[in-house]
Amino acid sequence: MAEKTNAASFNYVQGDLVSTDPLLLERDAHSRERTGVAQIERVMRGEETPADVVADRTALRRRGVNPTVQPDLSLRVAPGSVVGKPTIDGRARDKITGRAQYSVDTYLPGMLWTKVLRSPMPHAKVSSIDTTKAEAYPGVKAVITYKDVPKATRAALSAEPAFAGEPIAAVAAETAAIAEEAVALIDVKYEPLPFVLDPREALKAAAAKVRTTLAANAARSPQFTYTRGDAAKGFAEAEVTVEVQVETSFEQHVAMEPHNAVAVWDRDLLTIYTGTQWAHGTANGVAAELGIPQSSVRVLAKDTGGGWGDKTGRHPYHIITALLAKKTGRPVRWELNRKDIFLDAGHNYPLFATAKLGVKKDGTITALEGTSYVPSGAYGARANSDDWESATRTYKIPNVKVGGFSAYTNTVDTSALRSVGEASGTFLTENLMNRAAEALNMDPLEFRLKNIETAVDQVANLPYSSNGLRESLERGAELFGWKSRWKGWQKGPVDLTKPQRGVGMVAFTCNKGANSPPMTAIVQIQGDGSVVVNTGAADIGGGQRTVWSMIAAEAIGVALDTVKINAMDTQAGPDALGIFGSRGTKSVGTGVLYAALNAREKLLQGVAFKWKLSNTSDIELKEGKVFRKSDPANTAFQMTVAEAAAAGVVIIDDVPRPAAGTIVGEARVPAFSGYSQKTFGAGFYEIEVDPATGFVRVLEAVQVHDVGRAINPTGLVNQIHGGIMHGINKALTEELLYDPPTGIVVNPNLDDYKLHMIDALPAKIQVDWVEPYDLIGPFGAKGIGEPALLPPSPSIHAAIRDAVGVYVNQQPMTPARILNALAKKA
Amino acid sequence: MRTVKYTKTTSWKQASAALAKDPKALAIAGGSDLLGMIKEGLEGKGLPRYENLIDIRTIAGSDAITFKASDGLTIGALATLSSLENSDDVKKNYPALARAAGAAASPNIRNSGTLGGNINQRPRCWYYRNTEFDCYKKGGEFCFAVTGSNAYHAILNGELCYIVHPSDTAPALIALGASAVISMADGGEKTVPFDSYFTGPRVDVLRENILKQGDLLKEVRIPAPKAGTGMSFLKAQRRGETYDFALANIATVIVKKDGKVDDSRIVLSGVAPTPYRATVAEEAIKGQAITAQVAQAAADKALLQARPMTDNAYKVGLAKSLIVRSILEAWA
Repeated sequence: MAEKTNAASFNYVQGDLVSTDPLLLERDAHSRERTGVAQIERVMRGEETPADVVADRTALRRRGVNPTVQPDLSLRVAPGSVVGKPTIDGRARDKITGRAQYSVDTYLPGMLWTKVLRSPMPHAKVSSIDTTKAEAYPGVKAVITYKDVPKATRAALSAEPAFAGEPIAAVAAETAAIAEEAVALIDVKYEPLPFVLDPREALKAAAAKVRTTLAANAARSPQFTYTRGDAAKGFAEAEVTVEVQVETSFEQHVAMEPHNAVAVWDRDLLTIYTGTQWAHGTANGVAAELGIPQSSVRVLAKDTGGGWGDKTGRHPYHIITALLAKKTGRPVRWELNRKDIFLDAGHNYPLFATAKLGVKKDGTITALEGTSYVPSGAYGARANSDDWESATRTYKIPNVKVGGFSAYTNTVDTSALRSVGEASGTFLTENLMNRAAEALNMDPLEFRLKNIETAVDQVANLPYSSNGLRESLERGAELFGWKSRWKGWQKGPVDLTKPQRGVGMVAFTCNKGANSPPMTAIVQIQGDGSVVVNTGAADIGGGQRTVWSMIAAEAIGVALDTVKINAMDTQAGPDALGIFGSRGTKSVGTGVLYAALNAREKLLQGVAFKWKLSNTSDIELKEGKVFRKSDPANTAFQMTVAEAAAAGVVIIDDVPRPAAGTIVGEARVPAFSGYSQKTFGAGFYEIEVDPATGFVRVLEAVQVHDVGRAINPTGLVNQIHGGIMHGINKALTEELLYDPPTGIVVNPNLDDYKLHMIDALPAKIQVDWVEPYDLIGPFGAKGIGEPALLPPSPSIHAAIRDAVGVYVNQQPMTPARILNALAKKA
Repeated sequence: MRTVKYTKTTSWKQASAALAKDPKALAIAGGSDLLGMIKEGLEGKGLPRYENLIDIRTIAGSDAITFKASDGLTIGALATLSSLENSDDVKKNYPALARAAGAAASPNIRNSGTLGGNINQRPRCWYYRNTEFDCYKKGGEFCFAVTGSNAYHAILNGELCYIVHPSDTAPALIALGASAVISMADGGEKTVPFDSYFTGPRVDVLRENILKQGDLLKEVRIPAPKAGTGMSFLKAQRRGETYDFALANIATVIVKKDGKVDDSRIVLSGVAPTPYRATVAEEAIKGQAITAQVAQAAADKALLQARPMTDNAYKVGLAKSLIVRSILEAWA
């Protein structure tokens, strides 16, 4: 489940549980129905199968629309066993009722509390620091400064802060209040240095250096460029050229669970409890920075309340708590508050981009050209290829020339945020496609259907392992009723005295959800036939553990409830990389699948030995029962999985030898080659704009995603719902703002950094998916967590144009920007 | 997080006296604004670090709402916003006030937040609310909104400091001709119309109203509505209907006589450092039968005085639209 959806529905469910007011209950019930939350809850409780979804897809298949690829793969299983069955996430009930324990709920005996001193300037040198008063303050146990931390690209505490809010010193004390008071007693003097916030300014030769040690502010060398064909020639062939300029904003991830760490040393073993998307990444980063072996750092999480890309690897708070714990000999806790997070955690970077598209009057695209700039923060180096992912692949374009410039800037740290790059890139690309369709007076859906390229990845020059984009567009258009609701390009004057409605649509390509190594896991079949999956990977709220259980149960042939997952801990299993890039189902799931198949084969070898068969090819294991494929009714050749597990053998020099004990399956799956694997999807939205107030209400959302194959439809629906909510915020409200003259963030709080509440969800949400059965996905599956975010903002952008005749090219599309655009047009 | 002294009081006199003798004392009611400021650590030369909280919720009868057809409405300053929002007397006789109270904050906050607190809350300016900016309003030497991010700042009457008044109920009270009963530092009491209750930055940049240390807003009195009165309250915000301060809001009260406007009051918040009475618009509609054209002309005239900054020009059009809609709604 996406945490934002959880969080949102939680309010209502909580109201349901604690309220005795019948009116409130009735209103909540109504709200739940209206927002579609109620249906999800019924599905979660197992009272309802999304029958409409199943029926819809059956209808599609009947029409021969789906699936598009039907290779004969032995991993494919008959539907109806475990994979594909809507399954309630094992953690859902605990989370909804508040019983779940998150990493931030970790309180150890004797624990100390942390607070840090932050730089008030975007760039400065610390000229002096005196901590004696803070150290002498009653209850303070340790104070550390930049002098006490190991060197790193971004040191945990800095002598030359390169963004406002960068930590300088840290205090550990008996209480959080004491730590805060003590921080105020640290006497620090700064020498201000020149700073630069805008990447376009930062890349000019005369710009201030973001750090004094930098020779230039270019964050990558060389910068990103991509060309194919001849763009100049393509534009010469074009009959119409359209141009756009877009700007997006700094966004924080705003996970429900704040970033946190509790560090404790037991002799030379450092343990860090922390909400993380990648326990091994955190542990290995900490080990490298502290100069200790990876085996000496254990990182573990309880439930993690959302990450969205910002809880990966080592953060300064891990190093700071580890050093304070070492110095004091006590566990040290730091729960970042929202201000800490807005100032000091990662952010999605804004995109400043211009692009143009050449088309012929018949709708053929001849050329694309574009340039983008991003501020990487003082230490990051954001890749720019993802910004152009959708533009360079989704549509057949023979001539392309695009480039992206990544600059160091004295701004907040940047990190990945759900579909990093593609989100802003799709906002740009689809804006361009809409303008082209408008210039040609074509239906935007027809324009896209005419131009999408679904066979070959034009950048990698490889066939797609699956591509359900056309089916997604067709299915979405059908669900939304696009043909009857698209009224053509509105050219007349708009009645500005009352709210106006408009529709908009989008298509996208996303590289998140494609496979990436390490795809590794250990699967153990225990003496009684029950199964334990060991992986270092995390479940950050997306229901990953449920999906892995389903994959293992299906692959081995046992009941789902006999499979348990041991994860979210460097000591639970091998490093399977983080839960980012929508890797949970696709990549970690692939490791689990092959480890499970390996364990199954080892199990069946014991059976073959007992039944005196030369190999396992005639043995089947299904729903916990072992039998001969060729003679399933023969009771002489039947046993339970528990009996099979007890019959274990190991094969040494081709000779099976009986060997009692747990069966251990393992896998380390290499990257698949020969295919390009991407995710695709479409969105159709209706909105209402009040031209008097600039307020946008989303009335209807339809999203259809190519997911390869749905492993757990319940979790899938939840992820897409979360993406819709998140995407509406991205479209309409979320932006971190600077005071340009001082370089200080003006809105590091949830009052001024707006997030919509659940009432902003459209009254009508329809979610569906197409299942082209991906050639290299586990059971044909791809990822969904990140792609789910892509449709809302560009669809809303298009719908605003349809409603009131203006393109609002700055995201978020706030009332102020909508009113400004309307005023400019008038 | 810090330690503060906390005293429960049982009378207005006791509370005023306790506040008058300690410049670091502040009255606490619902606490929804004050506690946030304390936790945030806001302070400056002109904004003390409050260390002494005087609880006035404990004063008996301070949250009463009473209505008499002859005298009008009396509201204890400690009445919660949700009690106003749900009061039958208020809904029936002063629907604009009920709507204003219901438009503030979230249900949770309205359950603890009081009318007095909503009227006297400090501004939401993100420079004022940010510990990193030592602005005029905290006793500093600059208004950062002038050179910085000012999308949510004043377009009217800004000088020195460009905050906007954040209250939803204040414009409704001014439009309804309400008065404030003030318990004074010297133990006395006075009644002041809300027309002269709020003060701009030139009067005292450190305050938004006439209350001095030790003065407390005790009661709000609203006269009985005249025959032929129509009223409206509208609020534009960034976040739907939920939990947001206004981009701008407006309360309009129109007294109709013989099919024409006999008298009117049109008051906006979110556009100026104090609730802004659009007297130009009031004059423009006086004696007129309201049509969309009349309302539009009044709105256009009223905003001629606007002086937007770099990022807030949109508020001019927004304020005009609100005036038009509000006049039409109050007239209908």
